[in-house]
Amino acid sequence: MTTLVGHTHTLLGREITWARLRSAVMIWLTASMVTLSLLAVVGLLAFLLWFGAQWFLYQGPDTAGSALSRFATNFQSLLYGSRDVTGSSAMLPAIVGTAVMILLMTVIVAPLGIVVAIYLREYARESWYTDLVRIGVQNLAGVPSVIYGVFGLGFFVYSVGGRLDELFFADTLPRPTFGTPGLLWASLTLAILTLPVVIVSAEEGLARLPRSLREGSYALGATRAETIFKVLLPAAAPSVLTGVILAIARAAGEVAPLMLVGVVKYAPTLPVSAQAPFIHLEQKFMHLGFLVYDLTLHANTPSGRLGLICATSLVLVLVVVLLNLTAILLRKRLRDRYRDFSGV
Amino acid sequence: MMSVPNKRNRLDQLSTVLIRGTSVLVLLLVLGMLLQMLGSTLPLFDSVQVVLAQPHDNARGYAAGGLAPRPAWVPSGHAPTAWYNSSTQRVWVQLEADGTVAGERLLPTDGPGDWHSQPLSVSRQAVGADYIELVAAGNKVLALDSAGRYQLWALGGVQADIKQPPVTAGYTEGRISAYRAVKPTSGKRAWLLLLEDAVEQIHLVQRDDGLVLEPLWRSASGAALIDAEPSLVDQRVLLARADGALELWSATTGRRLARWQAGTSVAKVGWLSRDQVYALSADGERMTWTVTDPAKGVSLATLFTPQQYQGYSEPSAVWQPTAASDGYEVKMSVLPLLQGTLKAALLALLLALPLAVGAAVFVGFFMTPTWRDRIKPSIEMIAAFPTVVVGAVAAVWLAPRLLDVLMGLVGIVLCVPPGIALLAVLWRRHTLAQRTTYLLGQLPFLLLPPLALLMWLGWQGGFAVERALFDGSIVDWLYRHYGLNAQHRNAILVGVALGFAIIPTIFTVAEDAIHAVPRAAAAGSLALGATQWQSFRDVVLPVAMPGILSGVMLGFGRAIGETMILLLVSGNAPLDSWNLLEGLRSLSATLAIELPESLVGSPHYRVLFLAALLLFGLTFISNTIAQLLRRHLRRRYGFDL
Repeated sequence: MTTLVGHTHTLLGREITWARLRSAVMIWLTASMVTLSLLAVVGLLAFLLWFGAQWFLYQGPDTAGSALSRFATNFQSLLYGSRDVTGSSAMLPAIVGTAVMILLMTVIVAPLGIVVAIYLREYARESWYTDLVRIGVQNLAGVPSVIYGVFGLGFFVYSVGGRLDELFFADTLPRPTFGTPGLLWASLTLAILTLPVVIVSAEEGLARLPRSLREGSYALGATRAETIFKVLLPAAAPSVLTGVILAIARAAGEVAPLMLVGVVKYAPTLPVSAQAPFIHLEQKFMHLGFLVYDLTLHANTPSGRLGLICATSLVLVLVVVLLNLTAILLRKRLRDRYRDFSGV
Repeated sequence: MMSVPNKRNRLDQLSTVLIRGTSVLVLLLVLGMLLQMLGSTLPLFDSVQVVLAQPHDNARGYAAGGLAPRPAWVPSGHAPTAWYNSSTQRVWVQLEADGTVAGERLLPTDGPGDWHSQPLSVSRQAVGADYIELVAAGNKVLALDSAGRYQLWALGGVQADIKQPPVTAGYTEGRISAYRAVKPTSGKRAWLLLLEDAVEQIHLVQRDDGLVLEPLWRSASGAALIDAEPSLVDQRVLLARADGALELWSATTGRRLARWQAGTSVAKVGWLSRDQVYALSADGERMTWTVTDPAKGVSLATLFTPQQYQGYSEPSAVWQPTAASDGYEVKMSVLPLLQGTLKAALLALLLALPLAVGAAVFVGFFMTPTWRDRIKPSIEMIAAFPTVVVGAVAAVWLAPRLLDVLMGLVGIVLCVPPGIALLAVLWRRHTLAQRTTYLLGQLPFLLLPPLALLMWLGWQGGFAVERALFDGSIVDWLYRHYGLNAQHRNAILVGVALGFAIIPTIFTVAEDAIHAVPRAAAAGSLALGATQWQSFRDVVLPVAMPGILSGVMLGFGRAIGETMILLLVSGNAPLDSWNLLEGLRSLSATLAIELPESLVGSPHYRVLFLAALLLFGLTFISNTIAQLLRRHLRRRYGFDL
């Protein structure tokens, strides 16, 4: 098609002209895929912001005044339940439930993940066995979250919980105490779900530390434990922290496993209270992500409650995005720090 | 290291033990996860165990035969007589000596215990029947002769006539054995015929020419049949034979579950509960057995192949695991769930693949490094949206609109790629003389206006085509011409939402793989005169291909296991259909919906664990393929992702 490229055939042979055209076409096509992907992200975010903002700035009979005061009033009604937010969909208990569950999960997963990472990197000899464990751990990261819920229900709730009830709560037994979904089991399930994230991240951090750091520590007479806990772990802290934050971000957005191991639509009491033991591990709790699910499931009119759903989603997305951003910033920090090390 | 037993060394040893111990425990726990799921599933495939619970309990002097005594309102004629008694009606029918049927229906009047009569008229059509039985809550008469012919007659509502001709009739190859020749089963429209040496279950099926009685399954022949009793809560049948053998059969698969010896000659058998059966011997002794049968008729065959269920006109794969009432036939075939899972995942992959891989190619190879650092995290932001939010937006906002704008979307999909290609050709032709370098960082943003225009064109074009060719509505048109149903919660909607959610998974891995290929290779190819695309396709792509495929496999694995989006937008109807405009039900959503409700240890519970294992297996396979591809990349080219 010399006509297409007109009078340039003296400069470029016909075959090369075709190739250049094809090159241009492919570059433009792949570039448009980038545009479309970005549009999808921006579109969803804008959608949530637009309808969420409309809900937050809504002016009703009992909400008037400046945008800020309307926002405050509406945010309050979102938290405590009024306007179209009825008691069971008030967000405050869901936020508290999510926070307590994630806190508990972090307390469980962080030490376990770090210990396994230390074991794999500093104790276990490199062999087919460590290879297998690494492959297994990476594969675990791809196991669907609902499977963890199934495992949590079958193992933690029915097996472990049922046994605990027989041993310690035999007097109330037809009514289960720990043999039913609850806060502890939800945290444990999510801890196992996020374990690979922490392990991989912490191991990576340890692997990046230069050999000289270890050798220097040993040369000064430190034991292995001292080297690990006083030299290596502090040096790898940003990476470990990144892993923990990523784990929290992942857990904050998970709903499916929780539906099996402890989240309910409405819990009459918060899982934390001023009465001993302060954190009620056996209680069922409410959850932000499940609140979004429940609101959506019961949105009876085609677009009914869209504003409320978007407002709730927005809070959830903001939490997860903030956590992810923190992790990204930390990772950047780590890279800078690592650069310093490589100069040693 | 010196082994001086001081405090520091003891601490060191202690921490070594703790770290090793904890790690091994954690890893075992993770391994235990798989074992636990296996352990919950495997009892499904155990053989049935029968244990004698109470031998020879004859303290109460059970009457052999155990037939209920004839009520006072049934006239004592010669046998055979059948009656039905409930609070709303009493019916009896009797075979006359000449082979005709007489009977009476009694309906309650105002006073308690006060019944008024509606005599049934005599039917000459039933001549030749040897046995009769009232079925279907006293509203139908099943008449049989000893040669094996059966006819089903309906009793009229007001006149109380036996309606002629019979509803349906059929024939069984075998002679009817006993006086109680017909037994009701747990299904409302299926009955068990007791033949001389076997049982046969017949059921009513809707055919083109009306309701038809058809054989459902038949036990193997053996020693002469003494008695048989179907369980009234599930689909199992207990048989007693003349040689003292008892047999347990599954009515769903028509297979024998267990066979054992009673030790004496048995006159009657029956069920005490789901797990206990009894037999009465000829001299009034009762023996009770505990039947341990975790599967209760579920087997690999019922799970993975279509089955002939009661009332179904052909073998079908159906997922209806919970019964609306006792005796409803539970149907647990995982085929519709697998089909739904694959339908959703493949469609999501189809939508996400071009977007994610295309974007990965541009960002990883063509884009300038500065812009790459900005664009990559932006696309990866998608992963930060909890899937429940994606599902919620799709369910509340997109679902009610999708069917209306379907053609507009199709128009966009068809219009954008050729349009962009055409624009590229025109632009290239225009700029060739000047040899302008590409603005490879900003190109995606420069493309925004033409893309918007093309999308608008495609959108309008799609609707124009819909108006011109499909009478204004593609959905109605498809229904009229091909009988395709459309639902608001359909597979396309699932594909869109799920495809969006898996974009970052595919994009990140594929982009890393492309970017990891050393630039020097592509630079050399460019210096030799190859075009940008040629350098990519012939130098970078072959090296990066395993990495890209790995990303695709990971994305597929995520699509298979995703739950919240499926729960919210798939409609959750377990359909046996590939129609993209109908809903679906995935394995993952089934687990989330049904597992909290299912009884621990029940067949349903175990089948759900099996579904979890299947899901685990599917994702495990795709993840392992992804891992192997990455290892291959690392081994061969020496760089890591």
